[in-house]
Amino acid sequence: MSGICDPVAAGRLHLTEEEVGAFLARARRFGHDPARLLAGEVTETLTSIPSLERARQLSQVSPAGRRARQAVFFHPAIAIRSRLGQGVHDRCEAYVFADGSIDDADRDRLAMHLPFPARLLSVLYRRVAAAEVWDLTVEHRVLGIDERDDLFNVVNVGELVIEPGGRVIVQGNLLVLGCQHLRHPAPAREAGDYQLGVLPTPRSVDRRAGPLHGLAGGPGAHGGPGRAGTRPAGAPTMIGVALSEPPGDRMNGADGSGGARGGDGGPGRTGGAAKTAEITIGRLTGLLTLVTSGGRGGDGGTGGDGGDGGGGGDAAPGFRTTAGPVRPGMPGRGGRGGDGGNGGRGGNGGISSNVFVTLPERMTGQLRVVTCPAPGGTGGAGGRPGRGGKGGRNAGPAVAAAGGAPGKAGRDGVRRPAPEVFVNGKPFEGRTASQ
Amino acid sequence: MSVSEILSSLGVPEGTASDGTASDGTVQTRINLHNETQLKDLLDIGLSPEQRSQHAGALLDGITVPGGQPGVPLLHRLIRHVIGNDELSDEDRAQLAPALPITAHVTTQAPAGGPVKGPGGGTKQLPMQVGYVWDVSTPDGSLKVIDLPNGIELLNGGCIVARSTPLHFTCAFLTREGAPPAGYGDFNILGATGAPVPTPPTPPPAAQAAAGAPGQCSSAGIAGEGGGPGSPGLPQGTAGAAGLAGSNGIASAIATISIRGTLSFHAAPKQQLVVATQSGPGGQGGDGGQGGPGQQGGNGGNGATCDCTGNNGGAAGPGGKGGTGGRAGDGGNGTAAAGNIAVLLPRGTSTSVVQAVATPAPPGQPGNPGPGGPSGAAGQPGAAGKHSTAGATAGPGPAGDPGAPGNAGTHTGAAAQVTVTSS
Repeated sequence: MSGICDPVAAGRLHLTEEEVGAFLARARRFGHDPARLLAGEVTETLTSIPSLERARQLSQVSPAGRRARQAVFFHPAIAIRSRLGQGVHDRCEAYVFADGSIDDADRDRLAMHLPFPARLLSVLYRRVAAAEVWDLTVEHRVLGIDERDDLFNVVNVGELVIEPGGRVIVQGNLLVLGCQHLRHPAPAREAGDYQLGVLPTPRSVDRRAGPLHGLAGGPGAHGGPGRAGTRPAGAPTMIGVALSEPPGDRMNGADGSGGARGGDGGPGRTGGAAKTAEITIGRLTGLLTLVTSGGRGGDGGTGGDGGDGGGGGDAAPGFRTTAGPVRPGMPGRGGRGGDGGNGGRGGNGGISSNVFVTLPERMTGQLRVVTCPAPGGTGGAGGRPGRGGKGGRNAGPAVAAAGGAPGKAGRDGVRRPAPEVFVNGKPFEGRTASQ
Repeated sequence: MSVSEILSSLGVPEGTASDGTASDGTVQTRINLHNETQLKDLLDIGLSPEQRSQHAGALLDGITVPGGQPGVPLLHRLIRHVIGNDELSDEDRAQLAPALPITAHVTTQAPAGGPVKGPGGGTKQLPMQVGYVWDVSTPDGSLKVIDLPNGIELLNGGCIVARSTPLHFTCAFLTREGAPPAGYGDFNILGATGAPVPTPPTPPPAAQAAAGAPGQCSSAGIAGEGGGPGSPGLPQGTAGAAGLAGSNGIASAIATISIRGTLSFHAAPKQQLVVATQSGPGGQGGDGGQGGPGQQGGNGGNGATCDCTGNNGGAAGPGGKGGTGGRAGDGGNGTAAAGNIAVLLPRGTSTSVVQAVATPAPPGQPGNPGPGGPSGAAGQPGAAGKHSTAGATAGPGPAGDPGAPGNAGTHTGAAAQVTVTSS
């Protein structure tokens, strides 16, 4: 447990006695000292939750609210992954945040995560200034866990004031945010602005390692030049060279070798995942916009350029021999340019879980929700083809080689559905879906 | 008949040239001789029949017919015809027909060169002055004819070089002032060193060794076998190709040096006309090709991430040893002269004024053994699955061994004989 001194001027609070009492009651359950909180300290505890039952107690939803959530929890975007490992998490989260039940098999598979890492935070008053972003996210390394693991981020706030232009966000934590009074004293709703953001993990949590965007393919090696034609050996005489061996093919330049194919671009990784969030607001003053979205997939890497074909070898020039003139050799043909590598496939958009918002029914009209689907990454562009090698020089027709074929562009990643936001257990009606 | 007159008879207008007139007053031209008679006329320097016979004999004395060149005896008969007095048979002419027309590169002095007052009050043409290494070689080994009726002055640092080029040099007088450059004679009738041979290309690297199998998930969320180890690189990369044998030298050719008027020396430390000759030394053997790169070790298989758990990555495979370099190529053989050198001095000049320096053509040295191929890099360790560790790293393989040495060429080429006569 740690405390950060931030004295609160009592006159600034817009909390009722009941709201203060509810805040302190919740803080006590976290083991946070009410006196210190009332003195303006921020109290944070890094802990672990031993069981799902204890985790369930962190949720603030009522039994009726649980039943309402359970009715909508497994909508198609969630149900489709029931057979994946994520399905175990979904069912366990339905138990924690809604009214789901879990069988022994799911309990066994979740056991490795227990005790569950968590951060408990209490603050009586928090003002988010204009242009300030209060990022609630807890870095996984702080709790010593893998960045692909889930963690509970439980935040208990008495009064939360978000000045115009301020934001409160969480990125990829299981969020349980309770706020007795949330104020956003903005005069009018501004398009494109939001105050609460349930955002995806900043990094991909798929099975692979490495950067989000695919690496570019390496360029193909250039082809080597062909050997130049040479004159055969012979003795010089008054009437030309007396050859000691026939000219044969040595007069011809050798063909240049082909350029190598460029490497394929690496695939982009799956976008970050937006995790389940529960936001409970006791009282809302002003207008509030909630934005939530899965992560955009990584772009596929660009295919490597094909290597240029090697130049053809020069032909040996003709000359006179005692047996007559010897024609020039044929110049070598240029090597074919290498094909460009294929672009990497764009990563799929990140998966999303449910966002549950609870607030007084009469205040739901003050809430605007914007949910965004997680776009797939753009497929990488195909590599450029290598140029064909130039034909050898000297007499005879020079044959320039064909260039390589361009690489194919990678496919774009698949767009994943936006998170579903439920307000008081019902799908939010007026949400705005944007790209 | 002078060379200028012969050029006129061949259709080349007096004072002009197909290759242009040089600033020193010489005319460079290339002519085609359409029969043996035209060649004979071009090379006629006014010798008596007996002298012609001796001249031809001197050019061919001791010259052997190398194996694999059945046409050489015919060429010797041609020389005895155009230089000496022998007649060609119809069969000889028929066999020579494919070689016609014969190309000759001619350098002569323009008769209309600037007249100057001579010592006796008359007029004379300016001699050609050579204060440099005058390389009269033709690019294709065709005949070079030089006729300098106004004479030539070899200034200090000047000399004449004919490399693998038949030379027919005549001048009214020759004056040697100073000395030729170090390592040269006044006339240098040389062969050419065997041409360099290319080094074989380096074998391409083998594809990376097989990667280890990726880790497995027994079922969703249950980790199975971890990533497998990458395969080690092959024990050795592809050996480099042996170096090519060095080229044999190119023979020196026949040469006639005729000084009709006077041979004099001014401020010359050595009161002798040095005629140096060496036929073609063997070329150096080719270098052995570099050994191929060692094969890169395989990447360790990545550990699997099975939803909430995972397994370890596989160990990287060690790199393979580089390939052995190719054997060095043997040196080429020195080549014997294809013809001799005849020096014709003015009447009454002692033949001892000419010093012949004949050097055998040595065989070529072997090439350099190919260097060993570079070591193969190790593979990449397999990445860790969730909650697991990455595979162990591995080291690169050793570099390849260098190739075996080669041998020097085996044959030394005999130098041309230098025959000096004074008419």
